Amino acid sequence: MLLDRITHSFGSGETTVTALDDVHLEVQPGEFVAVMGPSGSGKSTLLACAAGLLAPTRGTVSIGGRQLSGLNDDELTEVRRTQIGFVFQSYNLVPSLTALDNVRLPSILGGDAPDSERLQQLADRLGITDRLQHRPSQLSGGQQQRVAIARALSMVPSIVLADEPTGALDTASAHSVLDLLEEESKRGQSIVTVTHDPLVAERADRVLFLRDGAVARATDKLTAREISNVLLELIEGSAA
Amino acid sequence: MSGGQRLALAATWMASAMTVTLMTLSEHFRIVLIDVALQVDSGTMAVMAVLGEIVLVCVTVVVATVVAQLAFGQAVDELRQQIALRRLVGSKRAAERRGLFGRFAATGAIGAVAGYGTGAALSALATQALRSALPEWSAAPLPSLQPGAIIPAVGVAIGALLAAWGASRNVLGVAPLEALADAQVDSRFARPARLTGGLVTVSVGVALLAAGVALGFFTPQAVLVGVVGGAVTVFGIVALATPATSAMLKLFKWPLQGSAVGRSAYGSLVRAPHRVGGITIALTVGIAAVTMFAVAGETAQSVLLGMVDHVDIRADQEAALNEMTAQLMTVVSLAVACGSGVAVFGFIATMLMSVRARTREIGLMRLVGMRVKQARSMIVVETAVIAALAMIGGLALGILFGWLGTFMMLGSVAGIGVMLPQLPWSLVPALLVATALVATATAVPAARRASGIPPLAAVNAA
Ligand SMILES: Nc1ncnc2c1ncn2[C@@H]1O[C@H](COP(=O)(O)OP(=O)(O)OP(=O)(O)O)[C@@H](O)[C@H]1O
Ligand SMILES: [Mg+2]
Repeated sequence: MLLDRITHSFGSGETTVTALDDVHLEVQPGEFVAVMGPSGSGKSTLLACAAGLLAPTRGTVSIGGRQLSGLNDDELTEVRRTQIGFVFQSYNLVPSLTALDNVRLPSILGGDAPDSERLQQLADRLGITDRLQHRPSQLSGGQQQRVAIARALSMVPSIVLADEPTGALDTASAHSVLDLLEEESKRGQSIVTVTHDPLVAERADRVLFLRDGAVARATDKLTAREISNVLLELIEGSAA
Repeated sequence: MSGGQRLALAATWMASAMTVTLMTLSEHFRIVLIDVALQVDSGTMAVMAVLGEIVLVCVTVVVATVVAQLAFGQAVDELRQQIALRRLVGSKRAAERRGLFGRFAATGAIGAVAGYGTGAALSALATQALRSALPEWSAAPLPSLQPGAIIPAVGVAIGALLAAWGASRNVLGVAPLEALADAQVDSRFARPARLTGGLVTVSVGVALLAAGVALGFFTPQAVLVGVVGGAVTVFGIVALATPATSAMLKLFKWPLQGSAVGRSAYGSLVRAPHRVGGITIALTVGIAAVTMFAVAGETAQSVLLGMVDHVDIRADQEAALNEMTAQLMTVVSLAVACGSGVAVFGFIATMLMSVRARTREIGLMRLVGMRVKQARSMIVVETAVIAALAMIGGLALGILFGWLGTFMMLGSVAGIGVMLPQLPWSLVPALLVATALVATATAVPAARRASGIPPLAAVNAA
């Protein structure tokens, strides 16, 4: 996935907010990238642009070598369905469908024959096999996130985009969810996750720090302590 | 004011205005026909005419109450999160209920009163128009608003109060925990089981209907018992709408499995039984009202015309009788329009509100790969299935009620006795066309609304 120097502004005229300012990010297969930054720094906007949900005001986004600008809505939908997996902090699942149907949703929507063997493997690995017939409201937060991850991975996408996937979880569930994501990236899955938590970002191969929409720092693997220090510097920097 | 409350206001307003006008016009018809045209001292005829009016008004009031109930139920669903939050920070259950009942009751009362005003104006206009159109009317002393017209307005207000009381009861089931729970917890739809209450109510209603039929052998006043029985049965069925529609939905499982759209539509129908039950029942009572009057009219007509062949009757009386049946059908179709109009309005409004309430869910489906066209088709399929369910239920109920009602009114008249229900040949095709039109009028804006939901709504919808 390539975000080629993208800028995104909301609104126009005097009320323009530049949420992303000339951000460049390239993610290789199997890379696990964390995006950090203070609230309002543009992290969610970055993911929305990466998924083609928002068209950048300037710059281009490509996934699997294919530029998203110029695709019509149906083509973009197909890219989201087959090339991108989504995991959010909450409300990941369609409440009216069972866990299993949620996981199968992308393939059902595309009219593909669901790859039941792969789904079975995924469910086993995520530890949700005995929860597949339940509805989202009958699952714990951690279980819901696992189901969301199963859905995100079900189509073997080029990239998984996650926005604070562990934000609503207790430490133990957060750890197991992260273990899963890390393991997937080791298997060759690209992952970009937004997080506020240095313990999450510590797991990533690279960390991108945003401030006021711009890349303030891009680093290789760091420890949680180092990440905290960078964050502190960023906050002090913006206070100054 | 929540969408549900606005719907309740509009429905009570509309029902009250329509029934007030209907009452005035049917009073006019009665006076002109019985006192002026027939000019016979026909006690039975006069009683029958009054009974007929009572039935017309009651049916419309029942339909309005069902729609108000649905609307208030929707309003509670919309307010649930807020109520849960207030409960969480210390508000008492009873206080929440009282507050809500007060607001709902006021809504219903305002609707009924405003409707009375509108109905008075409509009555004056209609009286004016009919006076100049029909010569025999100008001779009769017809006020522009009949005093009896207050009765249906009061009926609508009482119905709305009952609906408000019932809906505010649902607040008792709102757990403070819901404020904390994730937005995707769909406990909004998990109402306390009303199965037992519904079954008991239906049994009472059926018993009353049976009593009405038994009385029907002796007096046309049996229909009064029948009307109460019918109303009780309908409210019982409303309470059972959720399990009943869930069971009937199974009929559609197999035909919908074929496509992704069908499966998504079936899934969202099956998994939101409360929403689907409520919307379906609104249309069901509308179709039942139409069917009931059509069947009653046709059955009565065939019985009466059959009687004319046997009984010696003066030519001028026969002409008057023919004219009476024709005018009767006019009043009946007016009543049909009232009853079904409110129901159809309730159906369209709740269907649109339900799409709005599902913004986030539909956005999420779009996010993970649902195309715009699929979102649109999903809503169209859902609407079609609900309309089909309502058609089945409404036809069955309407034929039954129309038949029973006709028997109760005419069964005791010498020489009539037990009759079979008669369906006007055009009823089923006409209902099919009308329901298809209503479904289209609903599905088109609903689908447009659904297809306008961006995938981003999954992430940052309120
Ligand atoms: N729809 C919108 N219209 C206008 N401005 C917006 C919109 N969405 C986001 N913004 C603005 O863009 C900026 C970046 O928002 P974004 O949601 O990307 O931040 P974030 O880094 O994800 O913050 P947080 O950590 O709080 O989630 C903010 O200043 C926000 O106010
Ligand atoms: Mg964010």
